[in-house]
Amino acid sequence: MIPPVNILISTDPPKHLRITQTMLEDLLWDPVMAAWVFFKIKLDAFQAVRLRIYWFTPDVEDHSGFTSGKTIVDWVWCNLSAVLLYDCHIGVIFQTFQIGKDNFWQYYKEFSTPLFRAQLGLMEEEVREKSQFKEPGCWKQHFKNRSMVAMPAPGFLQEARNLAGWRVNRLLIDEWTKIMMSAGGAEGIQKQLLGRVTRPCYNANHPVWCNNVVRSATAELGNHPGFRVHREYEREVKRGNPDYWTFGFSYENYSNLRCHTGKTFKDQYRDEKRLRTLKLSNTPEKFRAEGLGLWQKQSKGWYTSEMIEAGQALGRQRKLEPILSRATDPLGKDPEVRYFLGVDPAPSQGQRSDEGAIMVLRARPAPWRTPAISRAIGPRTSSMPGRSRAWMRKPGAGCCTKSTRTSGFR
Amino acid sequence: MIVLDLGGGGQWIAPELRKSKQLIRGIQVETTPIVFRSSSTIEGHLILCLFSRGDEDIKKLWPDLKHAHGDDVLKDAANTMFQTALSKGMIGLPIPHHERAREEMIGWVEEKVWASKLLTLFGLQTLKVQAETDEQGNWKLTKNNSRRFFSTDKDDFHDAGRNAYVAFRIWLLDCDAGWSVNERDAALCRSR
Repeated sequence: MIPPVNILISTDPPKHLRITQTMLEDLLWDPVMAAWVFFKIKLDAFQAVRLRIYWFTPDVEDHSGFTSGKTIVDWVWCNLSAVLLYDCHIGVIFQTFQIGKDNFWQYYKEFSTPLFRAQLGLMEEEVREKSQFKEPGCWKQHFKNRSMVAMPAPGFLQEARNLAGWRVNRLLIDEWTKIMMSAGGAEGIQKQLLGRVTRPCYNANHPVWCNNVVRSATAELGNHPGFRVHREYEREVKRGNPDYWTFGFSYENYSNLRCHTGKTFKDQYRDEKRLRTLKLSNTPEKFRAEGLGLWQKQSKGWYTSEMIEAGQALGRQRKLEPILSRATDPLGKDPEVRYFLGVDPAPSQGQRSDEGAIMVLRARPAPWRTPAISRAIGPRTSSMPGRSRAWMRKPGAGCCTKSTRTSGFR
Repeated sequence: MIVLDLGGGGQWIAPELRKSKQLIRGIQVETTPIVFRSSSTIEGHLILCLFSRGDEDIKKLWPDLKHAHGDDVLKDAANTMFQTALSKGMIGLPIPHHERAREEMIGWVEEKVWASKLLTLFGLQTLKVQAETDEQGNWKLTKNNSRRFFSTDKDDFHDAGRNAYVAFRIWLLDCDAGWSVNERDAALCRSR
């Protein structure tokens, strides 16, 4: 244990490092600029969006996949709140105290600019006597404007009962889905933590001044108890409730903007090889959840790859090619050949929305159905099951497609 | 035969198909209207069906649908039928685009190359169609006792392919009904 040391910290920052009224007015409405001003952190476009969502939405669920830059934006959000909002207490909860120390607290050393340092007060780390919590303790970063970032040991095993008297304005719960799965974790979040965000604030109805909660964790499969919570968030967002937001980025979401090293964010942070390894070592469902940040319903694939491969093997055997029209189809002149059009119209509204599609199925009589066999089967009548069966058994099929997506087909 | 999905604006496309003048590649062209098979008021090709449980041809294909209370029953029936067709090897698909030799595609127009790519996409999309299950792995059913389908990706090509197969099966019920389409009306898919 480090012995207590008397350190004199002035109550006000030096004059040239004070946050002026005009700075405050500007930075409160532009947290991305504030991140640059205080920490010299240049955020990527996606992380900037994340920070703005955190900043202006009272209740956020971030289910982004791994390596999408969650923790650093969490840290920026917490510390900007502390610097820019007077007397704002921020609680930070990690799955374990050690993870919080290693992943979150280290940024205080990494992003230390004179302007930010001038706003800091006492940091209580190992000085556990000063902490209001008993072992294993609570790390606190005080600020000169009476704000505070506190990272208590969660003690989820006791359903977070040791946090019962705690009151904060903002709460960050990292890896909340994993906390829910730990013994007593779900109870701890529901019963204790969410009820702690009740400290009086300047304006409870204002998106910036009100109390906020941010939960971040990679998405999980549909049988996870957190899925119900996620669906509630989705429902509120669909209802248009401005107090809730849920979103997820993935490792793919890095832009071509230049970062501090001169490389693009994509080149700097997107490690394709490592992610390919993760993809191979996880089930597709798990990878979609943890890698791409997509919540998965519990489900089974309706079609198997064997079915598609069997269709392609049949196509290979029959030397099928895409056809574009009857005029260019080698079998187009055959009066027995029929074309069936399936249409799934859709207005293409965005990158993720469905697009309109048309597919044509070509059916022809079985190749072995010679005129002699036709004569034996008899004349073509609709009540002739033999004929129907012949078509059913060998409906040689090819396809042509039309998509509103491709310019060539418009 | 055309099966048109109701969702996404199918109900607005059907009236457009009834028109005898169409703008094809910027040129006003006289065409034979395409109308519902049950239509008796307009002279045209009676080859249009809606993928809806209220459609007469759909009801002929699945007579039980007249007791259904939701379109989820139709979706379940159609996906099951399409799954059976694929699993029994009744539908042939061109080989995946990336397996096709470059020499093989010499002389292909741009549309044909795209068609090959999109048919490969059809296979990929089809694999992403899922049916919800509970924790024990049993199917999760809707209140109409139908499976809950969803896709982890876009499913437009899967739905279009399935609808084409539904069209084939409707035709098979009554495959001797005489109809044909004029060559000049087959302009939509004409290559350059």
